[in-house]
Amino acid sequence: MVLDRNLLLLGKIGFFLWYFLSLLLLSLGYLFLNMLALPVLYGSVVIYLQIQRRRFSKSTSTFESRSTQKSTNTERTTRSNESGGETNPLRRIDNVSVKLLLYPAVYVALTLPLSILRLYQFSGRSFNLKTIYFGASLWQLQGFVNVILYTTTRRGIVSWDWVKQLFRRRRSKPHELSHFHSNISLITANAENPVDGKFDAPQSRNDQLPSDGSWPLASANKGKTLPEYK
Amino acid sequence: MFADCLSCCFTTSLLLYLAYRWKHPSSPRGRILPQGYLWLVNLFISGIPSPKYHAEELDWLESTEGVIGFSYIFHTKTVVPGPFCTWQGLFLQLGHLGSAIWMLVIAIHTFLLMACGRRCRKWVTRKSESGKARWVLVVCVWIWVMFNGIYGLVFIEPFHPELGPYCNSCECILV
Repeated sequence: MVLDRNLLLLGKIGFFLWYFLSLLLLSLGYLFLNMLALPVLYGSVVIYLQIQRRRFSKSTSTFESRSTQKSTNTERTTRSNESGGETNPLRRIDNVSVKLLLYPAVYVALTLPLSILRLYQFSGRSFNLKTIYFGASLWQLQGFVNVILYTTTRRGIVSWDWVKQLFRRRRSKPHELSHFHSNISLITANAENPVDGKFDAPQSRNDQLPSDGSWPLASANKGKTLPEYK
Repeated sequence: MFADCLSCCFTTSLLLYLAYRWKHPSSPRGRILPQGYLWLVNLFISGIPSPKYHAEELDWLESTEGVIGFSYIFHTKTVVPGPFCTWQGLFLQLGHLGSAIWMLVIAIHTFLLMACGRRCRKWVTRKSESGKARWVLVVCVWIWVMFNGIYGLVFIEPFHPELGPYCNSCECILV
């Protein structure tokens, strides 16, 4: 009888362990794996970009000191750095780094609350319904936030430039508005938005900025402003 | 409920827009496809959430398929084992697991593209834009997600009915 009871107890424990582990591995496991993997992957990309950025800035400074002929050009470069234009590769690398860090941050922020609540529920604790609803609402916002995040940070999916133009038009005065429609301002707009399909669709895929954030280096290399590192 | 509807509307409209672009590739924007476009589309597909409704003490789900049975649940305000409940659980599992896996795929793709040298970048670009390998990956991931979704239905619910219906167990685990 005692043996039977022990076997029954062992069976129950085994079943609950198997049930818990299988559910953890099959569902919650992915979430926690993502919470770990996304910051690691995107973080390493950002670190890589920052290393490239430092190398580039160092090489630019040495390049400036060596050549007097080219010093005028580098002065221009430093001026543009100070002004912080969109075409500045260093500034663009910084922008991409921030965008890349947004992905894991948003994911963790939306999924962590409910995941923690679930783990606490596994341990037998109960929570206020409002807390659960709050966590569930954050969780369910993932679809909306993903659409906004991925379409705004990765070019080529949906163009949000019409929103920018809308704001620009509202800010600009009437006489500036007429200027905006002139050819010169259109060219400027194209320079600021190099992949805006509304203005000028790229002729080849090489013209397209990669949506995954590799564009600052790629475009800079294309313009031969960034040295190659091996 | 508001968050569910918002997510559902945005993902559905984006997918419709992408489908329109795919159908009309002659338009200027139709030609421009980002890196990892296929992974992004899959992420958005799996990101369509199952709209959720909270009734009394029971949280019950209304999946995309379950919109048909909305009035039934609205009146009964309870979850009973049945095809509707099964659909809810299945869609919930598919959506959440799918989005998690595809996010990971996109992150790996981005990492390989940006931080692993030129050869790797070329290889990733080539593989993600053309060839059969990408479709194999898509099919494999969805089969794995389907297996995970059906797992509870096949292995847990019939043998351990004391744990409750499948959708409730999913609810307990995920949302």
